[in-house]
Amino acid sequence: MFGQRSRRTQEFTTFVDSSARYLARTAYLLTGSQDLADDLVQEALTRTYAAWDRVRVQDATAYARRVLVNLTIDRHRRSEPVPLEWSDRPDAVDAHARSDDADEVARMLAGLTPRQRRIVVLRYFDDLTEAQTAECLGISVGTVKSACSRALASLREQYTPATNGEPS
Amino acid sequence: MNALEEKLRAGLTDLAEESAVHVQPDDLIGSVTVLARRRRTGRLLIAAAAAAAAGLIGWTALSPHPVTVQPSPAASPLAPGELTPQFFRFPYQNLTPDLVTVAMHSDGSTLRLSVSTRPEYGGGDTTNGELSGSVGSYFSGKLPGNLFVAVIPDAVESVQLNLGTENATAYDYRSRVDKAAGLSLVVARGYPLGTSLGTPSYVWLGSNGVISDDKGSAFDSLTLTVNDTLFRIYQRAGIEGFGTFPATRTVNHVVDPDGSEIAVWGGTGNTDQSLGRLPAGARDVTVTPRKRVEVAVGTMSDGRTWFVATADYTSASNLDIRPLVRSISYTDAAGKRVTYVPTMK
Repeated sequence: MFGQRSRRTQEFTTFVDSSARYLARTAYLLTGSQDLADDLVQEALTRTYAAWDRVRVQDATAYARRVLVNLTIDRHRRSEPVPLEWSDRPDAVDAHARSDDADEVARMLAGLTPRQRRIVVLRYFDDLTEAQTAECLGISVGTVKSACSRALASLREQYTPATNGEPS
Repeated sequence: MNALEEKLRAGLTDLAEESAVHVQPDDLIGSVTVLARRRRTGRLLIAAAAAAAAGLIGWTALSPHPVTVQPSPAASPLAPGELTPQFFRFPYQNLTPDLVTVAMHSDGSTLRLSVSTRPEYGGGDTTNGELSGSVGSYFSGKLPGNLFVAVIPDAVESVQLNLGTENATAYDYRSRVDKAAGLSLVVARGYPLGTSLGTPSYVWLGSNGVISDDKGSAFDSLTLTVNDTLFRIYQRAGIEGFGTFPATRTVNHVVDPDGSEIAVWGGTGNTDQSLGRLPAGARDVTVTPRKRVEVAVGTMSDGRTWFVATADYTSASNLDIRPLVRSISYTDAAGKRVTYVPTMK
């Protein structure tokens, strides 16, 4: 029993070491908040560890990502924060260090609905296929296609590529 | 891949570089181990350990409180002076959040709040507003930027939007609790869905286990213990719907019993909870759960029987739509024995 628990712990630790950065980045893009991303990644990984006996190691990242995405959906729908103790002043982020692309994408994403943003992040950052995105969100492939199409159409209205080397 | 999609990929990658990782595997493993031990022994953990585990996994481990309908107890008067300023981020609908700062000052009888809002990453204008009320009383107000600030004279366990809150406004709200001062702060940003912007009303689970709201309303409530967790269901006469503490998780699929009077919510995919209410007059109720699901059954003061089913696992797939409850048997008001098998639609 002790040997099994050690192997389980080691497997999970290896998984966290390899996946935490990826999950944190996905969570940050989905929520726009480092604090929220921290909380959601923590809970997603905790739930993944709780279910570790049933999760295949090769599917663990997809499982954790699915839990993470559902936690963001839950949070959005539920809108009930857990009361926190008084907090310290949040860390400042140096917005001026952001690239032009990141800045523009951040503004573009601001105009999307929460569902459209989730789909765009999963498709263009996490590189999920339409079918994988559909399974992650619990919706049909057709819905992914149509929502993605609307999202891109909305983004296209905001994005005008530079022509002849000059900024638009 | 067109130019827009290329820009999306590059921009998302750059944007993601701003994130940091604050996870330690040992913390995750330790929290789950503590929770598993609690279940094996069947005893509640001491409050500190339970709070640490609950914060990570979402369980709420409370000492049993009698639930009665009473207003929140008046807090002790705040000592004169400054309270620690509080900061709230509102990233909803945008990735460039606004930072709301709430500074508070008490002179012993009056609590004054100074609220400022500015884009967190700079640029844009800062808006300011003031709000004040009596120490030990609930008060709230609307401030510039569609901001609503409320003070609850209790270090609440949890706060939610009240039953019957108008749906003409969507609220994104956060709360903070100061146990030492015995008060809670709720800051909400309203997003009108039409032309009106209503003031939010809140209901909370107080530090004494009593459910109260900002209007002094009377609530019917039922407390069930399932999976070592206290689960409270509350409702109010004349208001359609009900609430729960902790809040019922998102319902991914709703069981529709083809017009019968049983309603069962939740229990699918990554949702690990199911809640149901039986028809009026139902008695001798037996709820049969699926494997690794615990059920608790109780009767509200209006005579209606409710059940809560909670799984000790999280389903691996959103497409797992099996109910947590296999069947519900009861004797109906006419004396007939009925068995209902939930199906998902």
